[in-house]
Amino acid sequence: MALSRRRFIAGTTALAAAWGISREVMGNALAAPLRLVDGPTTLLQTIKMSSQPVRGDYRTLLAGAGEDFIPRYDVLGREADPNRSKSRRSLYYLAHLSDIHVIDAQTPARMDAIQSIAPKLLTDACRPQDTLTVHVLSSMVDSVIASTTSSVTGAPLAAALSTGDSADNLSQLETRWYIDILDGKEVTANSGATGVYEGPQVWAESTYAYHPADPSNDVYGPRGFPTVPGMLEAAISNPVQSQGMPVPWYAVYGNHDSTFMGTFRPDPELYAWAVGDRKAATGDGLAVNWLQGFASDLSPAQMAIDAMRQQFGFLPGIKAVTPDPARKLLERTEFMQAHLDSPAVPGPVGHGWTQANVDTGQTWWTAELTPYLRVFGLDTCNLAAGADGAVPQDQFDWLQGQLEQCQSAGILAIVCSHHNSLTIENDAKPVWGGQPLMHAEEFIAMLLQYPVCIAWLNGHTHINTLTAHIKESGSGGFWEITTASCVDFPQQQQLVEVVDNRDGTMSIFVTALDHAAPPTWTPGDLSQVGLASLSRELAANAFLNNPTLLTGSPLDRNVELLMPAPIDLSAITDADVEAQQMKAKAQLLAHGSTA
Amino acid sequence: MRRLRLVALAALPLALAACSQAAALTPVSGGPITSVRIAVYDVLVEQNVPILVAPQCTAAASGFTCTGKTTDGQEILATGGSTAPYPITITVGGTSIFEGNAQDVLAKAAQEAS
Repeated sequence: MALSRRRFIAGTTALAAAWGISREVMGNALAAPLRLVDGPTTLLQTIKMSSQPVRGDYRTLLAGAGEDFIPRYDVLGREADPNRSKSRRSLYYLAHLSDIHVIDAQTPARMDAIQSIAPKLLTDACRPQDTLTVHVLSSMVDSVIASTTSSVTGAPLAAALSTGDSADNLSQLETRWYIDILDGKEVTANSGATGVYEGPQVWAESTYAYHPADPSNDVYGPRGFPTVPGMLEAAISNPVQSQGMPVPWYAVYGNHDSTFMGTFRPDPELYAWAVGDRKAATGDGLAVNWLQGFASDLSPAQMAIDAMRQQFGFLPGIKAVTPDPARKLLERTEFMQAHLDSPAVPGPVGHGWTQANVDTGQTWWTAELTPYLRVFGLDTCNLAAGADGAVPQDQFDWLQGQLEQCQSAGILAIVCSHHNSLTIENDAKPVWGGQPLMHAEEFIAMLLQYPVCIAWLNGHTHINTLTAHIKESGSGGFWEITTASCVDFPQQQQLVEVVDNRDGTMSIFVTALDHAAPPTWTPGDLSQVGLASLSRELAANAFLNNPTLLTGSPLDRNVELLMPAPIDLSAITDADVEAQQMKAKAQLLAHGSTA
Repeated sequence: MRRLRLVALAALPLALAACSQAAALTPVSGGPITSVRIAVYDVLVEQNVPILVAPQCTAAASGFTCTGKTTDGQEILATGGSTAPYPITITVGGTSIFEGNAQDVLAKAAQEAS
């Protein structure tokens, strides 16, 4: 049953009023039929490394051929009807962001210098492209805006789900920057002194870091990394403009939003150090001044010496920097509050969290994307220790109850978390106890009990990965959809569309999405998009981060994930779908994007 | 001062070991099994193998074993080594279709066609 003329007019009137757009303009936009648009996605063009290095091991990037959708039948258990594309309809079209990792590269709280001690221990402690994360995120927003019309069905983009590690290091500034870019505000990615970069990328003794002005004496120079004078100054001095997300976006906690360096529970000394005027330039300085704070066997005398040294002292390997109170590390609920301190558009205010979350400290949420599709945002982070996570018993029970309701009501469900099925095995518990932690096996088994749970979206590993979770019968189950990151190569995110094939099957189309900056960086281009392009190129050569692995395989990128329809999808009427798409079109129209 | 520095450096591994998830400090971007899995998929797609169930990889005595199924019911079997460059072999229905190294496959897939 399609939307009646009466409901269409009433809907148009309501949406025109809600968005402050004339009824005529709104009516024309909403009445336009869906049309396929070949957005600038990896269906049309991919990004490849040059076949030969240009200097040392260093490769540039260039445009490659697009990749068509590959059907995956794992969950369906059989091949699909080749005619399904003739009858299908879109149920919901969204963007999946994850592991944005906006970085304040100059904060004293950043543990850059650990790379001089153990380069492979924390490979993300100091990347060549650390100062360019805000530029990349803005470029990713541009790419989402260019993809607001589905290449599969012509449906309008309706929402975005961000599955954690939005900030890199608990930082108030990083959190604010990422929210502001997604909300369409201007950000200057600097802290401390105005217009002056203070950090390892200019300190001669920090040879573990890439020095763009002259890399000849660091570990990157011999590998052919380019000399880019002015890169750091441009990165931290020029405001980054953002068009803002064209759709409401939701977020969950990642381990980097929850713990120090995504791994350690922060202590009071770290909170003080983050806003202080000392930063470690070398491993010596780092070890002496920081890490022993984590050791549990320091004598009182040792602690007294530490305290005196931190009050008055300078040591080799420690540099003076301009302090900045804005660099404070966020407490747990302050992160959620920052999302509530956000405008209604693109919204929603709180981005999944509500005032009740802040008041109670509960860090997980649910949202109704449309009456027939609900999303559940979990917090799988382990605050005791470790980068990986688990599902605490209370969230497990809560989610199971919610899925029970969805199953009874015939409502489709998408689960979001930061950690994926390979990384929810972290059993670390605080010494005072803690609730049971559920691992992948129990969690997947629970989700498999509810056919309405069609997808689990997550991130964490920075690798495009699509995993089938199949019922024992060999047919039915759900798809786990893991996206790459914005910070490491390939700096890709995903478009996800839920489609009813109207033949008893359903498809979830996943499209890998590059950010909008040109594949090939033009030497000397220090514009906003130029820096985003340069960031991708540097990331492609960041040898500590295994860049050739992170793109995943073709079966992890542009795919049609098939599954049996989990409910009688005809219960979702065409009128229901049209009403959802009208709302989505209206918000795109208000943003200035077209659908 | 030097002694202080030595003490502190000695404390670094202690500090990390004190974390009950020291292994989780290592890069989250996947280990050898991920390299093997992705390389196997790369090869299967490149050779147009019709996949019904994409191979799932598990640890085996001497590396990794990945098993899947084609649309016409043949078994896809891949084995992979656990040390770089991660040698892999792939058979479909008992017929060998690939022998090589996962790292070479990944590098080739990431680069422009030469």
